[in-house]
Amino acid sequence: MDALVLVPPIFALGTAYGALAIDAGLSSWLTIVTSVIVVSTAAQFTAISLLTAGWLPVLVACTGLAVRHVPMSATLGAILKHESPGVRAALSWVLVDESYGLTLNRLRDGEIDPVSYKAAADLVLYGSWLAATVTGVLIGPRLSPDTIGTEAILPLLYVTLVAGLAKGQAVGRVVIAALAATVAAVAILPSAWQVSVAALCGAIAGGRGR
Amino acid sequence: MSDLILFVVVAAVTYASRAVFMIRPREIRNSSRAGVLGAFPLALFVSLAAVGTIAPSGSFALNLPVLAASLVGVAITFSRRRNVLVVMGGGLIAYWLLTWLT
Repeated sequence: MDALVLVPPIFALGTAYGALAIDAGLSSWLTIVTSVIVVSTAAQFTAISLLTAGWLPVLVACTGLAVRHVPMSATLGAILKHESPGVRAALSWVLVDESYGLTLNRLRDGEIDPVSYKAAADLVLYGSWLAATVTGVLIGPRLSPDTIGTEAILPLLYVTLVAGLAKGQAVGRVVIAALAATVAAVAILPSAWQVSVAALCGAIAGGRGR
Repeated sequence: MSDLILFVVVAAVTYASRAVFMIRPREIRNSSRAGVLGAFPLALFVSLAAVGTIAPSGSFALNLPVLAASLVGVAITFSRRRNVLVVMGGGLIAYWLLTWLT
């Protein structure tokens, strides 16, 4: 299944998160609970990075990161509008970049049962994330994120997702607009808002007239 | 605010952002809006890849191993080998090589 190829990087990231969260001062059980209820690599890493700054910076940052889910919700909601509200609510739980990207790719390839596909992908990703978090909590300080290349894994993952979606007209325009918007956002905005604002600007600049 | 309550709030905000248009779908009739919505996923992943490569901590930072990994990843995807593990493997090899050399 497609989602299985994401297990190694998800596991590496989850293990790193578990270890870093303990290092940031979270208890073992709270670290695991955060992965159970938040299910967001970006929000969880950001939250533990900003914990010492207080609750408000964490909430502002995580809200900024969450904004990018809204268009994802709109896109997938329009596709799944004929499903029951309960199914749509359940599929919202693990609406992460990876399962979203995989589902869209699959739909473009002719997938006729997106609910089952996404549900299976969600289970694989969620299960991997939880197992990895537990692993990180248990073996924590003995791991070196630099050694396993954690800092390179996420960009590589997103490069792959870009490649999967880079089909059709105006792709170049969207990519260039998003890159330019990202550079500007990094220069101007606080880190919590950079991706959300850049993605929206890139989509607006590159997506009109598609 | 205790850490547990903080993360419960973060979880609630995150879930709300994911569920808002899943639970109450909106029909996007405006073609311009539909184009933007269609472009958003691609723009999002481009931005995530770019930030992770050039500004992982929020400000510009040249990290040669990460840059090499991303460039190799892009090159591999342009060669039509869009398998996640192939891209990851090639990129991580470049990362470890540059880490060892620098």
